[in-house]
Amino acid sequence: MPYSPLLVKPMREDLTSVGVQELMTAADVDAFMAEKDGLSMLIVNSVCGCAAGSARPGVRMALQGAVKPDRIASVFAGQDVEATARAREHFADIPPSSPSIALIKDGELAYFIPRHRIESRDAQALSEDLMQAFERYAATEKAQ
Amino acid sequence: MDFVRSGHRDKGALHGITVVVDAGDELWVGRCDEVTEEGVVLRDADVHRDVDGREAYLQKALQVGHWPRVPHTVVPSARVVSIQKLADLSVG
Repeated sequence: MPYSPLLVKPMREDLTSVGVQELMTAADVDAFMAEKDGLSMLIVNSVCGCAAGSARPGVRMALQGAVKPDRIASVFAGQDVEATARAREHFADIPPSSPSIALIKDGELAYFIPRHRIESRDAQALSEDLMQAFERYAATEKAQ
Repeated sequence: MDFVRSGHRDKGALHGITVVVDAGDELWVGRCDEVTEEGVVLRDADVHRDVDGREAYLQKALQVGHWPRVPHTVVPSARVVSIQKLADLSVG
């Protein structure tokens, strides 16, 4: 059962306030995934504070760096059920977990952080992982 | 981790953490709810029963996570050989 929208609102705003586009329907997800050029990041947001409590601030910190994905979006697991299911359909070989973060380069999954690599870590450590991945994949893009 | 962040309390240090439970001929991977006298309570878990293929299974789980095929289970204490965080494993 989805949580109250009032409870979830600040968890959404943690990301939307730094420019993350919320995908709330399957059509939103398809439109986001249809733009294949460049580097995209798709975040599966989650209520669970055990991991998402580090994920959102980690993403926020990473987005303060010089190198960022061209497009950044999120779906909210357990809240925007249709959108989350469609996002997972795009990565059929990846087990579902939330929170999780995918980097998509030119339409192909390039880097994935599942939930277990977010748990027990602080936001700083997660942001460093993300910034390194942004550098790696954005640099590859520029070199081509 | 405080209550405001986690939304839970009194569940122990492994609550909400993805763990690997070695139960002899079964290897369980799942999100630990709590560890009780009865056993390890797992949610969204998967079980692997091919002892020879354990390393490959864990390597894959480390990379992308595990498939949550079992919504809820309790691995009995008497069968638990070890329990550790999936993220702490080094495989291969």
